[in-house]
Amino acid sequence: MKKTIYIATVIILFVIIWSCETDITVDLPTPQKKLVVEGFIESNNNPYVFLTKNSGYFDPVDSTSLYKMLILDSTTIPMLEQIGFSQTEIELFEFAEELIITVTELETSIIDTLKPSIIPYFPFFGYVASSMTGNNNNSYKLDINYNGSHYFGTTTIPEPVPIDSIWFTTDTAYADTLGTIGIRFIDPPQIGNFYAIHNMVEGEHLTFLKPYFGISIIDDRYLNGDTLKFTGITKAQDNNDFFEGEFDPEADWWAEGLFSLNSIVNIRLSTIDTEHFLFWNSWSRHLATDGNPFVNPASIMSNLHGENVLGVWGGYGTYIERVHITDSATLEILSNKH
Amino acid sequence: MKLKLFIILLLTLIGLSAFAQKYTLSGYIKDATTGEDLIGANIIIKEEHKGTTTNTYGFYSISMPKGNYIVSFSYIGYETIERKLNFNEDITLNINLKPTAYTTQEVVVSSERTDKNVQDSRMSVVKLPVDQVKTLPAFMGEVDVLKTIQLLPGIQSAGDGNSGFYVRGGGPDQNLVILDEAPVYNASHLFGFFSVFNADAIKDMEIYKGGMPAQYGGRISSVIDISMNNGNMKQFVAQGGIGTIASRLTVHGPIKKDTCSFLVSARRTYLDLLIKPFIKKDSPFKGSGYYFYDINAKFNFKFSEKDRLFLSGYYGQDIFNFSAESGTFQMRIPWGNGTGTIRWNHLVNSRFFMNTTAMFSDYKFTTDIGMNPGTEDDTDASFRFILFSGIRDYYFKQDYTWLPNPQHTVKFGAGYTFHHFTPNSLKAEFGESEIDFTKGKKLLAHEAYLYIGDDYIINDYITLYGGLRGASFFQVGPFTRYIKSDDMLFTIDSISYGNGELVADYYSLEPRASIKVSLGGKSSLKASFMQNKQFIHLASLSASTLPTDLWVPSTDVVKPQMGRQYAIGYFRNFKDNLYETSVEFYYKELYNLIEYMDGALPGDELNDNSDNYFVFGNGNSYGAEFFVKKRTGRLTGWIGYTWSKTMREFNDIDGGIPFPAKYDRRHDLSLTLNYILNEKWTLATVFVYATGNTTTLPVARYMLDGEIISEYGYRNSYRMEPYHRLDLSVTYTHKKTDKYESVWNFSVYNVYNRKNPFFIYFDYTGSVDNGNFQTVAKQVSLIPVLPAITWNFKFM
Repeated sequence: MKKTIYIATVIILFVIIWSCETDITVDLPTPQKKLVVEGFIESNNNPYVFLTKNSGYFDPVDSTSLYKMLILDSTTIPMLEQIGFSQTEIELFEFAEELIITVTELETSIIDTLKPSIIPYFPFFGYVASSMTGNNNNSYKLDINYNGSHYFGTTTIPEPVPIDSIWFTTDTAYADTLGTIGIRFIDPPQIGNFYAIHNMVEGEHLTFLKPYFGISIIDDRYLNGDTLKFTGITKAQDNNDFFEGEFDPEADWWAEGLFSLNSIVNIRLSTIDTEHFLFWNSWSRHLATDGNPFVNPASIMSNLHGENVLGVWGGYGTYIERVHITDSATLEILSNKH
Repeated sequence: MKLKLFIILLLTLIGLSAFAQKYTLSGYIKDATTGEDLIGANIIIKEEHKGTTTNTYGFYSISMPKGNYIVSFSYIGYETIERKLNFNEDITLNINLKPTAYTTQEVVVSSERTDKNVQDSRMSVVKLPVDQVKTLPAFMGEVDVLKTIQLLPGIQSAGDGNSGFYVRGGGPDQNLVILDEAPVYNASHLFGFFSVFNADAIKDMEIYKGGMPAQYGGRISSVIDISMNNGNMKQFVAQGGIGTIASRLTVHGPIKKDTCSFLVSARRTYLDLLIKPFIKKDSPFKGSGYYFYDINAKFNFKFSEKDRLFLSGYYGQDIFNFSAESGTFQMRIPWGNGTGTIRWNHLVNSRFFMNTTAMFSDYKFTTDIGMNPGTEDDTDASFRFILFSGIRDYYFKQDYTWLPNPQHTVKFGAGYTFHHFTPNSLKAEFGESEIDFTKGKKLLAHEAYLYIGDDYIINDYITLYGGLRGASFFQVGPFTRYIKSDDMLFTIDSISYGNGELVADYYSLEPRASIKVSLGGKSSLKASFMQNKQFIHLASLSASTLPTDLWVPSTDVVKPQMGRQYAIGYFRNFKDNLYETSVEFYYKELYNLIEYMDGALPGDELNDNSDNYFVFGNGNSYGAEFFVKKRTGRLTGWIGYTWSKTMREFNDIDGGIPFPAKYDRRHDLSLTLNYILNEKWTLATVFVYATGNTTTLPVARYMLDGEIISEYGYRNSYRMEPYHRLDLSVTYTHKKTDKYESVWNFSVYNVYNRKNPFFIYFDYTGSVDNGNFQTVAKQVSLIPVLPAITWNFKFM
């Protein structure tokens, strides 16, 4: 059916060559304020949460308004000064009267509170736990109390699956200096295993991000229990680019998404649970159908509970392979971590 | 005891009147110059105020007690014939009516029953002979019967670019469109610009918006019954037109005079040839093309006074193709219908008419995409996939009309259809290997029905119609039902059905009734009720009708749609039937409507059923339709205004909050005028105004993983700008003799270049860091002002 949508879109585009476009003003109703939660907990790492709010569709989008979307409480003021906001700018932000974020490991009842923290990568500000780290095969509950409302969600960190083999394929169009990575891993026998792929190039990225092109989540519905091969993994996309420059039609976008020789790459294969998978699946479907006038828009499935909340609380069971792409386009495995 | 006596007396009286000695006058009424049957011609026994009309085959029958009567035979546009007849035995009388000479004065008003709209018990029905349709401005020079019916109140288009039409709030799949008794699944070419019906091959159309008689069923909202011409029985005729966008040619004539005739009609657009030189070399659309063609053929054989045989067929295709400059990528998307019908009319006796029909209908939509990188060492990378969906029906039916006396016209019959659906079938070739997913995707069903109905003229004031239709539907195997997990991710079980094994069965009892009460003068009050079930449905992924929409049958998961409609109306004619006016109110309830699940993109999965992704709900629609028509004179035309509201309610959409249907249209106004200037020149105009379509727009945005996400408002909560448009046309009759006709038509569509909305989308400009990132709403409109010239010719 994706093909059908593609076909339908092409047909529509064909007609558009002899259609007209006009700018119009659209009067949209005032939106219901909603809390947006992006919270994750990975194996052996502190859980973290980004909290933002939604905004009007036509509201201006500039770096200041992005920060205005952040949910902040008054304890964050010194951090805002540290990032570089002036007093006048800080006075424009909305501060929450009540903001308490906790994560509970359900198997042990250990609770940790998430505190505001500056993060070296976009969105540069989040709430991080100081002591708790994710343990494989455990479940975690996130609780947020924000201005009198309570929100919560539960996720699990499934047992990670190791990368069985990894290789580099060069792209002949780039004289063998750029290419993609492929991995192979063995899917456990029970049905219902879901995976996500991220990568991080040392010296270029500050954290694990999704590949630039292609899919980044996989499920085992058709090849359950088999050896799953995932080829054509492209280099992660860096969101900073989006915020720093305009779309450059001259740039070679395909090349931007390829790994280069002599780089050190961390490939992360994560296992995720069903609800976490449903979130990313609906997120990519939404992006694929958004704006297409011929398909009803797909909404994003959230595993969070509470009134007027969007987003996800997801666990990742991670397996990281650190590799060096050598001159001869082979991969030298430096280490692996899980 | 007294009650029993009364009943026996009553029955005897009825029985006596029914069995009083009556003699029957019957026969066929035809056009004297062409031999075409005249549908709906009037036969009136003047002093008795009794009458009847000819049926779809031109047959009439009227029974009267012994006596002498003056009988008049008439049809609008033809000279009336009157005969004095002695009913002392059954009479067979075939009548040939002559068309009235074309004059510059007002068209001579014949003494026919011009108050038929008031006197007929049927309501919510419009009869449209094609000659009337031909006088209206033609879109791009092409007369279009489906575009014309959308000018009637209660029947709406969804604007430019949408091929469906909507009758009293019903969906586009709820209209039964039949061509010579064969159902047509996709009655429009791309984007609804042209219907599949070539007006030169069409004789007559009857449109039911409500009060559907029992012989029709299977679709809830309307019946568009289109009859083709049979072919001139007397002489050869070649007629057609050459226009700026499309051309058409119809050839018809006798194979054996007055016995056997044929008709062949063809039409093709050459949109692609015209646009090709204008597409820029570096445009992604270079190498694309689109065209469509239609062919109608009919063969008509009268092999005895009592028997006639008709063979008709239709075949049409829309073809969209695209091939990249380098030849590495090709795409070909043909879609279209084919129908074939054999009908046998048999006069059992002068009061009993029988029609037997066998037909075949095939609708296909194919997408053929091939990619060949062109490098020899990379044949592995070439692929081709053929995605196919379609529906094939085999249909057999028998219909009887029994006219025991002028008070009753009884119709009864039965029919059977075998449906073969292929909702989505895929065949793919990768390099050398081929994967065939076509098997196991088909859906088979049997549909059968019986009906009986009677038009009963109780007296000069009251006419009643009562009918009952019983229908059944059986989905049969081979079929596999895949049962999904609650999150829809996994198939947890499957049930297999063998060949012919019953998967699901549904039944329907459909009462139909209407009543007319004359209020004296030329006015009447009518009311009707109908209940229908529909066993096949159009699953539309998009908010727009596209050829990618799937026809699907009812299954173990999909129940039949059901509708109930109540209507009441007041009809009045003024100035000796010069003006026809009516006001009708309707209320319709709809059940088991189908939508796709939120975010559904079905068809990806191999082991799945597309109907696992449907959600079901109900809806209703109500409205008022006002209509004024000037029937004859130099200036003719009509104005129709509809106020209506159509809502839907689905538990799985917006949590069950009612939402308006996409085509919910509060106001709909249509005006058509035709003015005969003189012998040579005729002017015509059409003006339409409609409340804008609804759409779902984002109301807010937020960030998720660095991507901007749109948060959508309630379904269809935003209304686009209203649609309005003015068309003008001028017809110049260059020459008109017995042997040759030449008529030029100049038309302009959308005279004041109104940019009617097709859809709205959002564009982003600027960058975030520069502080000038902006979201701009843009509206796409389809058709600007469009002139067209067509030269129409006729050789006889």
